Amino acid sequence: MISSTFVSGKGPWYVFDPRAKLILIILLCVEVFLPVPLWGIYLLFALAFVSLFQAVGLRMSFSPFKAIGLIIFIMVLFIPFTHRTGTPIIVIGKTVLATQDSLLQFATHTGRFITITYLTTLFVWTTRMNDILLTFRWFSLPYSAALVITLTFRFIPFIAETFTRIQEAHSLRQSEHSQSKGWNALFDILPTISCTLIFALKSIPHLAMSLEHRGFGSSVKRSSYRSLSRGASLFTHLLICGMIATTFALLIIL
Amino acid sequence: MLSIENLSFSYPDYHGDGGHEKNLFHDLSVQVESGEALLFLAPPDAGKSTLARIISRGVPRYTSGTLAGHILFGELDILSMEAHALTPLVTCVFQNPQEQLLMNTVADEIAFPLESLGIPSEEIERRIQHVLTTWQLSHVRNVHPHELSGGERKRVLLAVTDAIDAPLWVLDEVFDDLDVKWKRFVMDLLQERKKTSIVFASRFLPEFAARFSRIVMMDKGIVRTVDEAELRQSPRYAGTRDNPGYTDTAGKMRLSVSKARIEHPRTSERAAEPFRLHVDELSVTQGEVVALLGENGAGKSTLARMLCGLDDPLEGVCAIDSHALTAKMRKLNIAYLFQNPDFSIFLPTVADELSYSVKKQGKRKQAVHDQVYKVAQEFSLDLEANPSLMSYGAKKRLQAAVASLLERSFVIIDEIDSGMTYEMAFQSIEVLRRRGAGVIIITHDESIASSLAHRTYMIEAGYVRERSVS
Repeated sequence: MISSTFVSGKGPWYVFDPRAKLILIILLCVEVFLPVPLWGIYLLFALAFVSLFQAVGLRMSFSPFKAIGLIIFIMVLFIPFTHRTGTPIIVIGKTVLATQDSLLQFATHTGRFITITYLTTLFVWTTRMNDILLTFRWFSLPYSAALVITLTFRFIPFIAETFTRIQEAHSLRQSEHSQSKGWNALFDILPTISCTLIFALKSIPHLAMSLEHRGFGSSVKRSSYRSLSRGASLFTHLLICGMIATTFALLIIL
Repeated sequence: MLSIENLSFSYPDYHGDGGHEKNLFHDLSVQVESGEALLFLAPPDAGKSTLARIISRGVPRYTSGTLAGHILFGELDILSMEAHALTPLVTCVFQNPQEQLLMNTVADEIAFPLESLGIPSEEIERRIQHVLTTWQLSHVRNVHPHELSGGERKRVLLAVTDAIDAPLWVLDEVFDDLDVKWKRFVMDLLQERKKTSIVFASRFLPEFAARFSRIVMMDKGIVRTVDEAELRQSPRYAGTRDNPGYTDTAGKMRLSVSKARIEHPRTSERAAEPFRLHVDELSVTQGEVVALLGENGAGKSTLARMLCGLDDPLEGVCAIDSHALTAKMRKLNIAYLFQNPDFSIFLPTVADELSYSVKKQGKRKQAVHDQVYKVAQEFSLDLEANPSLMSYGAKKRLQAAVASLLERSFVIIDEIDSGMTYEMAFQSIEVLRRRGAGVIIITHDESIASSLAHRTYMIEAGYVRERSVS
């Protein structure tokens, strides 16, 4: 029912304590929204990309781009039209298509967006879901709330995976006459989307039923099969993560 | 003892011939003695899965419906209990494993209900180790269940059931995805452990012979006890029939694969070996039925995906006669019926579903109507039925009907027998074969293979080989 978000790989990101890793990711996501220079945003993006590349390999490290490609495309279309001040750069006839300010805004917004995408992907891909759940619980989040968050993390890729499977099934039902192009191809995707939505909606009661069959909701105090390490290693990892976040902050502020 | 007494149930959207709400079953009474394994046979759409979910308190809670009657397990009134309170008492394995898998690794899947029961972590680890060894899943301990084959997923759910070790097991069509070895294993386990169990099934498998203390059959809501001799005479439930024998293949198209190699990694576990499959030679001719057998996780569905153009092999050639086929050409020539029918069914009625592909072929309205009506009759489908409310077996029939309308030269059917009676499975494959398609059936049921297939291929240790003719 649920697709994985964890991707096996190697490197320090898999070794870091998830609690320290979560704090670092949150700090870096906050820093990217501070009034930092553009090069600072892209430096952080470059670090996130290199970290992901080092962890899961080149091919996988490009896949977040595919996921957010459409949103970036929409940003390309609309941001220049919503920021009209500054020196005109692209002009057709008397119409100003883009100004220096609008391009700067586009570069800033896009940089922030892809940076937080890569940072959160780095966290989710390199941390097993059960460790994420334990991390949330360590931060005193109630078990049911932590479970809902982790299930949500897993439900999104599940829908993406289902969409692919349904798309494949539909592609096998095409005939030579029905090879759609252009707008028709766009309309042909509607049955796939509706089928995915039905599939996703139908899976919600199944998910709830399975959780209850597995004892979720019982008044018995849950035990925990996994546990996060305590003591020195957590302190060391927190220290390292704190140093990374501080170094980056000082670098871009100074 | 489990005692089902005067149970009646109806879904609000389930209508009888008169268009009124109709009982799926009425006044149903069955007793299962303590330690008894009961086989409950019924055709698709009879309400087996619903009954399994009523016993485990999933229905009518998560699906609306009207329920009357009693279910007692010993002194406990099950229908007055919450589903989570039943976890230590009743474990149910559903027909579609996708519906029950929750966690990201096999080990976590097993651990989750044990954590809910408050079992200490050392004991959870001991049980995980034990069931992983018992169900031969140790090598996929940290693999995501999504990356496993259908049969492996069923084994994971059985391992969860084994780890909980509840006194009552409810197994809904659990044998469908399992290979012969594991079917026998489950039967042995039920006998050894003396578990009180109900096994719901659509057909009487050869592995069931002399294994159940009692067999009951439900038809049109009426339950009666039957014996094996009677079942062997029943074309609906018995799995033997005369093999159609040699088919004249002269002048017909031949699909072949030679020197092919397929490989893909498991993304959730780096240490796990990537999946590899080698095909030296495989062929099927139009009008011929070829069976593809292999253990769970052997790569049957992977091979099917490559054949129909969804995946490409690392090397090797897939051709019709002497013409090599690209992935796009394979899609246009080879139909593939997915193991899970929900992926390919999306329209509000059976009629819409069947006419969708025919309309896309550019046919006239009357021709579409005639063709759809004929195919619906061949596959015993109600044109006005809502596919999303149909049983798993009925959806598989609808899938086969869609494949028939596509008029592809070759059809691959992945586990058509899931949730179907033998009669329905034979009928569906026969219709496709009579239309002139070359049919590859992927199955774990030797009865289907020996009754229908002209030739059989086996997948063993990553290699596809033709089995010698018996």
